[in-house]
Amino acid sequence: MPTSKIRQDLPIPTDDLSVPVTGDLTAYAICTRRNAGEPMILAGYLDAPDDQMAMIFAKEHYGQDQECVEIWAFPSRVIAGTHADHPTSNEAGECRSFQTFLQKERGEVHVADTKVQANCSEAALEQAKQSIPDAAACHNLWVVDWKKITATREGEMIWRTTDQTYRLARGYSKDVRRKWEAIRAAQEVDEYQSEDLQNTF
Amino acid sequence: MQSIPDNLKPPFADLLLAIADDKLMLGHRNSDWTGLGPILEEDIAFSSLAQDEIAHASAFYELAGELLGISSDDLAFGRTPEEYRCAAIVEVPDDFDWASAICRQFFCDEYDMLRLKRMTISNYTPLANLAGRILAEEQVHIEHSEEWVVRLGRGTDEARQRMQKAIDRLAPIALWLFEPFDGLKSLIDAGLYPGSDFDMYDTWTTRIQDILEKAELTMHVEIGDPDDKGGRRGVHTVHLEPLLNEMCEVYRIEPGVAW
Repeated sequence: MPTSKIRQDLPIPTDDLSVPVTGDLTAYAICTRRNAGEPMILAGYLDAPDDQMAMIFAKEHYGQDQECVEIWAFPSRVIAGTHADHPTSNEAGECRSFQTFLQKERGEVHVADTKVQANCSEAALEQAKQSIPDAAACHNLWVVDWKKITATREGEMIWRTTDQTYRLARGYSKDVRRKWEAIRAAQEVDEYQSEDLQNTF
Repeated sequence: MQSIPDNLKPPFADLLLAIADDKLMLGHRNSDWTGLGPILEEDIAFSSLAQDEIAHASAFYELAGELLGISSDDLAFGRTPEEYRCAAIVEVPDDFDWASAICRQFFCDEYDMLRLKRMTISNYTPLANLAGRILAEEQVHIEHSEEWVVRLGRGTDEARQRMQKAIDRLAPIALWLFEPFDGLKSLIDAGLYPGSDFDMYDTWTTRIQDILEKAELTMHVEIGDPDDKGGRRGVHTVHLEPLLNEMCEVYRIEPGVAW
């Protein structure tokens, strides 16, 4: 497959990087709200150096996949839940809000539910189990310190309002393929004919 | 104003083509980074923003096309180099230096924000409406480039040095964004493109300096002779023609065909 001409002259560094790779990115969980009035749902994860860049990346990754009106981003490490991969802490601090997320069945998305007030994530999880009717039956339950969640402002631009159809691969139809095949076939005939002429004369 | 008087059509078309050409070339240049971004997440984000630039260009070509009776594809891909109205900053290659790519985006985003703001108060309603929609999207672009400038400036020694080198190289070229074109004053006087270029230049440099100060970087520029001709009047750098040869390759196989 031929590459773009500009890529044929890519500068490839031959010396060692002067800055070592330090792995300074953090994993972030991203939630989106598709329409006003619908719940926030876990859309996926991404890596970013900090909260602001996580939101910038989230707007382009998850905000352009499907139309949405709101995005939340928070470091995965601040999630405390009922599964061992997100342990809780009993280190008491000031009483604060924790956002709860429910995953009803294994494989389903996490959906934001109510907020609970507690002074540590362990207490928040206990409160969530008691106050949310479906909590006991659900597959997984998370609590996230509300202050750790970066959220888009109301009315902030996420989904573009200009024509976005150019992003879709609709043009690559059978029709376009046929046109390309015809062009390539014509080029091959031209090359064959020019070689033939060279051989003849 | 619902229609453009005949005598104002040529400069108004130049104004629309200037913004469309700037955005098309910038989007094309930035799309070179797809698959080569410094980290995966930025690779995706920068590619998405490059697509945005091309969408914005397309919208302005539509508007210019209605005025000139030419299709937007023919305007984007079917002109000779001297018929393009883009500024030098979007023509020069970045040599796959990330600091240069971000610096170029930063200068252009800040300029576009001010240019679009002037267009939103145009008395030609179709332009004012379009500029209003694109202005909201431009805010996302500005946020992205400003955050990168600050992080690179306040990052490692290598990041700061490369960013400063990119500013030193690109800032004088960026000033060509402000090149006046023939008939510009008549557009201002008629309310089609209200505002002052001098005020716009002051606002641009102040904003750029504010962000650079936050990033612990510096910029020194002196505006050139307004009689010197550049891209706004069809005099381009040597980099435009190879760019067009690559970008227009498919169009030129069969001009006018619907792909």
